[in-house]
Amino acid sequence: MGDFHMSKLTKLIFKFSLLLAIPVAGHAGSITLGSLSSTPGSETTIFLPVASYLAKGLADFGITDARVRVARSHAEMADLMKQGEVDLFIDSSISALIVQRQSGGHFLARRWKKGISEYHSVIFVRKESGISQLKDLGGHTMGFEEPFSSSGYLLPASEMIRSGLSLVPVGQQAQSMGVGYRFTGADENTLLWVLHGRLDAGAMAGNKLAKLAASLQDELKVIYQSRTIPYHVVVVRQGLSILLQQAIHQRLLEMHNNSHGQQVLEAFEKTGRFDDIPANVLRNLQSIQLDPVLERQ
Amino acid sequence: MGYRRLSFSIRAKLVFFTVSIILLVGGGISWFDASVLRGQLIDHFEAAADQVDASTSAALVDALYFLDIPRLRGELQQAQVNHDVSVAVALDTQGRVLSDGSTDNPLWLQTFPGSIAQRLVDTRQPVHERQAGKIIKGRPVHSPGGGLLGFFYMEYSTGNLEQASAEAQQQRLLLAIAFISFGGLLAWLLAWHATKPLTCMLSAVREIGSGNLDVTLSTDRSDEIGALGESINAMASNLRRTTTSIERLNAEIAEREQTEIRLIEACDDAEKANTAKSDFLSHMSHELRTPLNAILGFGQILEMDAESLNDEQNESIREILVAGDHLLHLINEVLDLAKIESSKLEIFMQAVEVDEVMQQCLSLIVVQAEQRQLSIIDNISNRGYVVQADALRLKQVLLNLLSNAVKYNRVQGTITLDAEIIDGQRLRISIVDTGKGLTEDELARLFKPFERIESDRHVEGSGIGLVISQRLTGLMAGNMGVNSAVGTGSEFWIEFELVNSL
Repeated sequence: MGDFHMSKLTKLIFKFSLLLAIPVAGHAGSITLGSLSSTPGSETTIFLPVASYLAKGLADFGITDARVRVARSHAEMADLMKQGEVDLFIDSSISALIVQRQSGGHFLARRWKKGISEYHSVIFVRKESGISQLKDLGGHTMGFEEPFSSSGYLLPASEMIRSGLSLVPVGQQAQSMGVGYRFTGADENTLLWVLHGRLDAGAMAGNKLAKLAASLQDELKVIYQSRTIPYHVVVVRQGLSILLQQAIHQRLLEMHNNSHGQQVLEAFEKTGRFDDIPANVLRNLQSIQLDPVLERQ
Repeated sequence: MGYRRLSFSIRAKLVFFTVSIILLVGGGISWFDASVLRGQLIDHFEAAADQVDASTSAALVDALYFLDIPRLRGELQQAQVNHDVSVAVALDTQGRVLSDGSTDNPLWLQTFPGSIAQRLVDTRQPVHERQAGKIIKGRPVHSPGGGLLGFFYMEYSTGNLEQASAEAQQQRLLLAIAFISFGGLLAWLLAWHATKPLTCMLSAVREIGSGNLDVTLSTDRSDEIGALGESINAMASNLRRTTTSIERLNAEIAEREQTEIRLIEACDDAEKANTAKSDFLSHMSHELRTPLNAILGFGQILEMDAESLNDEQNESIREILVAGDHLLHLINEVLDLAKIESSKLEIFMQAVEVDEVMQQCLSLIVVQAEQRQLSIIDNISNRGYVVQADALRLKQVLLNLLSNAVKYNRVQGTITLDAEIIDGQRLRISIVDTGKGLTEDELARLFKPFERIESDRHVEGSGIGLVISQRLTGLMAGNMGVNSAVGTGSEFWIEFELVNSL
């Protein structure tokens, strides 16, 4: 994304041509944000202010309206983006990676949600478990949070697969010497089940484990730490005009610099700001192999 | 320094006592009602807490069994839907917090603080405590097989209970205030209605007390107050009559007092006039007696030289002496009366023999009695009566009475002298004549100075002899009286203290 340097006259001619001939958004005259959720009502309430904020700064592109579309699955969201029904998709990095790869879009910015810009996942075991490294997990059981959890399943599972481990549902690992896994439903459950010996290992975000196991330093140990990836990112659909992408990118990055933008960010699940995704972090994200993981969902 | 005793009107007392009763009854009922309501609220809260405790504990079995924190959170959040549940915590078997129902779960895997929670974990027995503002309950959660899964600890806030109780008390307080205010108003109206007739009566009685007796109270009531009003009206009526009588009596008394004053003044004037008269008479008597004595003296000298005078001259000299004696007698009587009235006559009281005095007197009138051929019946002499009197004045009195008996008797009449001892202490001496007797009118004027009976104008006399005799008798502590019958004669009597008798 390079800078564009045009004279005022050139800009005016270009904008005019855009207004007259180029479809700039999924619905003419509006910008649409997408989200994954099973509760579209509340989700729309959360996302619509951001969409409206962006729309107000894009009048030069003929955008006067803001919309929110909610999908229940990554595939549905990817289809909507491919159809031009959704212009921007904002979600956790793994979900965004899935949608980005399925829809053909690309990453536009990083979102600081609740003060967190990036994270990594860890795999932990009881200290007396005898497990000291990733490859020792073969034939043991492991807990992930839930199938769509980036830090609690997608990232650590992809890393484990990339490391040569095989993941099989609990009960089958003894035959295949793979790692038997099950979804616990919550990071707290994962921690407790490992702690009570119901599972041999667990995976979750490193900061989450630090918080949940603050008083359990003597009982647990981390045997693996994943690469760092963004916490939340913004994906823009394929086919949106470059000028409009740039305008959206600019407006997102400047959002935290004005009071109205700050208010909208605060209401948007305590978002601190949007910024560019550091290159190494983006590389980590883009190198994740999700297909083996997603096949198990 | 003394304290003045406070005094309240009947109306104030009625209002005070009625409001006090209302306060006692209303306050008591409100207090009892509030107590009962508070008891019911506490029971309700206890039952609700038991219900939450039991249901949540049962609901936590599966979540604790599976160590499912989201489910635990959901169950605890479900419990906390009840706003009175201030704390709802699921603990593991070691007493560490698994969930407090919040997403943040700040006490995650930390030992839950507090002695009651510690006792729950240590004893593994249900706990139930009531502390200020909350009810604390806790119980172990067991699997169906009996194994310990963890604990449920709950604090049930009684803030709403206190608030509900306070609101109920406030409502009852407001109700009590309204009740008391209304009751106070009714009490005042009742007191006003009850005391109004009393106030009217009080005003009426004050009016009566200030002298206005024309007050009339309405007596259209048939109760005690009506009877009291009638009594007050009757009292006022009686007072009016009594006052009228008193005023009339006062007027009469005032008139009599004026009359008495006038009488006293008249008496004083009369006394002064009488004194002046007596002084005049005494002075004049002395002035008259001096030349009269000279006349009589020279007349008696001429009489002694009767041989040198002719018959006509001797007759003239005799008439001069008779007239002079009469005049001298008259002057002496006047002088005596004057002395008596001016209290200048001296009385020498002593034991006097009546017989002796009587004989002296009879000897002086015997000639005159013989001239009128009168018979004297003496029933006194030789009886030896002795009375307490002035001998000279007793003789003067007897002589006057005997002279009158002679002068006013008929020719050839009778004079009867009697004596009678009365009550053994006094002696009554009676002189009875057989003259014409005295009429009632003559009897009334008999003892007044210078009063002479019209029919006896021809009888020589001054008209003051009987008056002098009566006064002298009085001065000698005696009495004089007269009994008379016209055509039969008169009885004059005198009484003196009897000294002794034969």
